[in-house]
Amino acid sequence: MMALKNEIGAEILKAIRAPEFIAPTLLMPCAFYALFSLVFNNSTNNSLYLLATYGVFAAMGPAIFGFGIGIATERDRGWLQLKQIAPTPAYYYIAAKLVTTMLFAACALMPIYLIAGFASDITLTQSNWVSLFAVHISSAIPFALIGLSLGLMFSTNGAIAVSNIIFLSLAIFGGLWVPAFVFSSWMQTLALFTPSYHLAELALSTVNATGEYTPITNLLTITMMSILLTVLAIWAWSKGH
Amino acid sequence: MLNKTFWVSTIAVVLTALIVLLILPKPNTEQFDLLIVNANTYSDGEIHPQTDIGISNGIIQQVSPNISGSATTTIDAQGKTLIPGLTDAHTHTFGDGLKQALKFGITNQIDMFTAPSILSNAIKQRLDINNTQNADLFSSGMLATSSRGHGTQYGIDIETLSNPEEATAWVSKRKIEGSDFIKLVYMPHMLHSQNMNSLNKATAAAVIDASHNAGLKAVAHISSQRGAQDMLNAGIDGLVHQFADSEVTDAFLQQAVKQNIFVIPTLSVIGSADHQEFSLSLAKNNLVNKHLNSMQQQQLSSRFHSDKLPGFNYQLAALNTKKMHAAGVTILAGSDAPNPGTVFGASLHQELQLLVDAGLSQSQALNAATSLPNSIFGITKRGHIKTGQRANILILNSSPLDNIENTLDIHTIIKNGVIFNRDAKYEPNATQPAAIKDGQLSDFSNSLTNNNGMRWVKTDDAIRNGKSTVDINLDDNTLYVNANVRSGFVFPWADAGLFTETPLDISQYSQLSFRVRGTKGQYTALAFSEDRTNLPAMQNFKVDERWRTVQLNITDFDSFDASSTNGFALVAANKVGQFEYYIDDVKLH
Amino acid sequence: MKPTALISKNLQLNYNNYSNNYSKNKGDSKALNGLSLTVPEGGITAILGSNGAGKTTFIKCALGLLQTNSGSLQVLGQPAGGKRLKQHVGAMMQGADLPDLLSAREHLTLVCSYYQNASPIAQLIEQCGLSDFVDKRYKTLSDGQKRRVQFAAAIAGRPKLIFLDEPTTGLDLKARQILWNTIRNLSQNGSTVILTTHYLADADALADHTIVINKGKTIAQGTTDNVRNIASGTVIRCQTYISQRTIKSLPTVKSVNTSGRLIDILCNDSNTTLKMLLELDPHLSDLTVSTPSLDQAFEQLLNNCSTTQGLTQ
Repeated sequence: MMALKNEIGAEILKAIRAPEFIAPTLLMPCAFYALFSLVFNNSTNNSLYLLATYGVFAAMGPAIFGFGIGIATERDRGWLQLKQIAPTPAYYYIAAKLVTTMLFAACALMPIYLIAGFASDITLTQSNWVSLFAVHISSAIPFALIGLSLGLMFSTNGAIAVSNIIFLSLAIFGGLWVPAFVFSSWMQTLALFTPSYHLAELALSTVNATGEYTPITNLLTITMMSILLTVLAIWAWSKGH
Repeated sequence: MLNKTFWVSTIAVVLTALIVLLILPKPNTEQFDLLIVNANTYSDGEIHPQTDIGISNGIIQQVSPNISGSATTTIDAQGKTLIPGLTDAHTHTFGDGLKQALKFGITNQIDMFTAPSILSNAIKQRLDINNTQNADLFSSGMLATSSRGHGTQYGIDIETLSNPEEATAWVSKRKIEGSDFIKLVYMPHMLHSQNMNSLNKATAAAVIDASHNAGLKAVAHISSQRGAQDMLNAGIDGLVHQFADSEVTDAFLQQAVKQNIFVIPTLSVIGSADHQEFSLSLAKNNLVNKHLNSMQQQQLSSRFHSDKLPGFNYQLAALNTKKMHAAGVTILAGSDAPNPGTVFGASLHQELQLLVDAGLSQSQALNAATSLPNSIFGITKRGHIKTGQRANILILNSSPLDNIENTLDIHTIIKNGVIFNRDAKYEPNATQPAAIKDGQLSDFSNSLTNNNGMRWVKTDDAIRNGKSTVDINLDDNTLYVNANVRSGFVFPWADAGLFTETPLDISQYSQLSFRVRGTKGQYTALAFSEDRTNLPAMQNFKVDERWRTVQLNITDFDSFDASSTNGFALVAANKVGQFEYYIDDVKLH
Repeated sequence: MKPTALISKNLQLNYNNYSNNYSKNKGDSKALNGLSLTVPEGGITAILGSNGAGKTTFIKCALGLLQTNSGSLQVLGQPAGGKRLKQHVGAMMQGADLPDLLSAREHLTLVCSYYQNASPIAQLIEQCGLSDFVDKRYKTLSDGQKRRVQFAAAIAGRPKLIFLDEPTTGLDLKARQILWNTIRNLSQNGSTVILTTHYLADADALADHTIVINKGKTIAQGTTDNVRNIASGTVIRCQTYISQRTIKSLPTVKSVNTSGRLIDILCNDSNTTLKMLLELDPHLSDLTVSTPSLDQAFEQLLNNCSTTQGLTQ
């Protein structure tokens, strides 16, 4: 257990000492949310939609970049090999990264919530705030699996490029920036295949905003996607050896 | 070091998240049944300006300077003053008393003697949050007195005491019956007639001890300082009247303060006995009289006796109250309604005025009718405007702290969270009333029935487990009624009534008239309508040996719904004994 | 017979069974081609080979990072890569860098917590000479300092067997000597050290045993002295018109290689050889005389395969 706590501590230190990680993961979602919900927004209903979707966006950053680029870098630099040689199980390393990702996602979410609550005048019941936070923070998991696969499959430079592409695609096609319902029909169809779309729908349902699908459908889809991504990550891990 | 980083970061983030989630704005989903906003709220001696009060399920849910919730009903009480529902610490409840009290914002009555048979129902009622149309009743039930003692003259069966040995068993019976405290009558020094009697000192003391042993407070009816002194020596908890025979001595005051007793001066009733005129001015007050029925109006102007009673010097009573208050004796407000010169409800407001005249501040007078009696008599969840309390609230148009008379300037009465309609008529029953065909009700030419399907029948208190009896017969085209009223019910009656199976709508008529002669005395006409849970509406009339015509305004039957009339009855109210009368030409006009 | 720390028998590993970014000879299909070697317990064993010879690949197999196609590989008496082995095996991998943003102390704290029987961190810092820079971020350290931190991480768990993959590559002489001392100390504490190098000098300075591998095969193993003797001799580099064939026919000459306009001549007796060359070509120019490089030694070893058979006994 001490090894796991140390591992998490090390991950946290690495993350907070990397401004190139902190800036986009912590500041960008909050800045984007402020921009879209306060500057470009004129209806309160819309700010609630944006709160649900930008929360998913905020959790996506640390997950995809932290895992994708982080693991690719450490694999390139041989650090991962030392982890494999070490007697601690491999999942410690993954778990430490996931915990760190969630802590950062929480840090990214808080300013968004504060802007939503105190600048956009969004009010939710205590249980709605808590369940929204739970959905947002848990959405880091499927994104972390995507990041893990990317990090195991690509070199550092490749991972940076691919992570950004995937990150932006999931944000756009998942309807995290602009609601999916304004998309053309082929883009809407595409949205169905992104975890971000279903996570956003799930987040919307927790704040009693109506989604296109039932929360159960969204949850099942997310679970299925997560299982597929886990299989992909395991495959990438074993191939990396 | 890494371990520390882990703990510090994790705890910091989790705490931050918790704090943020807690401080994030919550919606106005707080939905109240009733919301009173911008009120100056009086509770426990202080006015809290600009307070909002959220009420749901009959309970005050929230009291705060700014409630953001919404409500089914919202009352903007800007400029108005809220006080807790009042407690009348000395009444004798019967009939519609609890409703009449509520019409004046009295939400709790502390009853100082009533028939024990009503106690279990009273307890059930006061526990019921849906009891929104009557004041809650707390009572001593039967009182402790001697044979031919004070209290035995009202027609209620009383188990009297004659020696100290009976006290313990007597008190435990009261406790089982549901008495909230024990009231005893101790007046051996000043009996109003040769025929009266009182508990002796030893028996009274035994009753007090037995009460305390049973965990009940003991209060005493006294009529003299000597009697009060005896009770004080015997460890009484409170006196339910001020003595008005002599000026209170310093020794008495010191002992009263030391023993921490309370006194309910009942200046209203003492004033009435002393022929003070203030009950007449109360009857004339426009804020009062529109809510009184004719019987109550009459009651306010009635007197005990044509002569002043000895030992009822109002000036002394007021002086003693002033001195006791100044010395630090707890003073509670009680009216002793419905004794002559007093009525349920309105007289408590008068009592508050008299207490202020006797030296209490407005705030102290309010406390004497709210928080103080409730805490002394163990009446919980009432008497304050605080979260968790019963939503018994008076909204006053003007502040009673400026002038205590403003307690009568009532804007809204709220009982258990429901706005009480002071002018309410009873809702008609689901049974559709039939229209009346003929205003000529009865001429008794050949039968007890009439064209409207109504029939004269006997009516007596046996339906309420009373013991009275009555016979009715046609006699020379009149109705002869021969009744024997016996004690056994708090309000015993035995008389004749004209009733219908299906309710009748008589709302096009304004007057009921009939010819009557019989045993001389005061009689009462009762009017019954659907959905009556309490005793019927009533008006008084006089009878003597000569035929006379009585005319009664239908609208003077308080709380009577003429559109669904069940019938009328003519009774000799509150009178025990045998009497007879003849009746003829019963008509509606 | 001395107890062995590691025995490999006839290891085979095809390139196409794994992918990595290290340089490989495109012509060869096998990374390991019947590699058999034995490392005795205790002391320092150097695995000598040129780039692409299979040194790193072999260590990865021994650590369980790569699976061989065939053959057997026993480490500390157990199959390579076994879970229980990990507590007792340390490794410093070529190109296995540590995270830039952690200090040595932070990193060692983490690594020590992996092992049940870890060294106290203070002792590691002392032992590996890290005290001057132990709290600086790894990124800011010199190559030599980084290597010492990596080394400290490799021995953090007090392993019985330590693999050091090219520990001195890229280090200046001073840094190399500091590391040599540290490795010697470690060996004296009873650990078995296996290091790979392409510097003969490393093997010379440190190793009790030396194993030479080439193209995935062991071509020589034995005590370091024995191996060095095989590759002994002198290299004469010069520009001359004498034909290679003529030079090769000289009795003292072992092998001849051209290197642009220059020619490298490996010989046993440089004085005799030089005299003979000058007799044949008085205009011989650009003359240098040196000890052979490892490459030249390997060339020699390959040319004398029959001789190596004797050394492997």
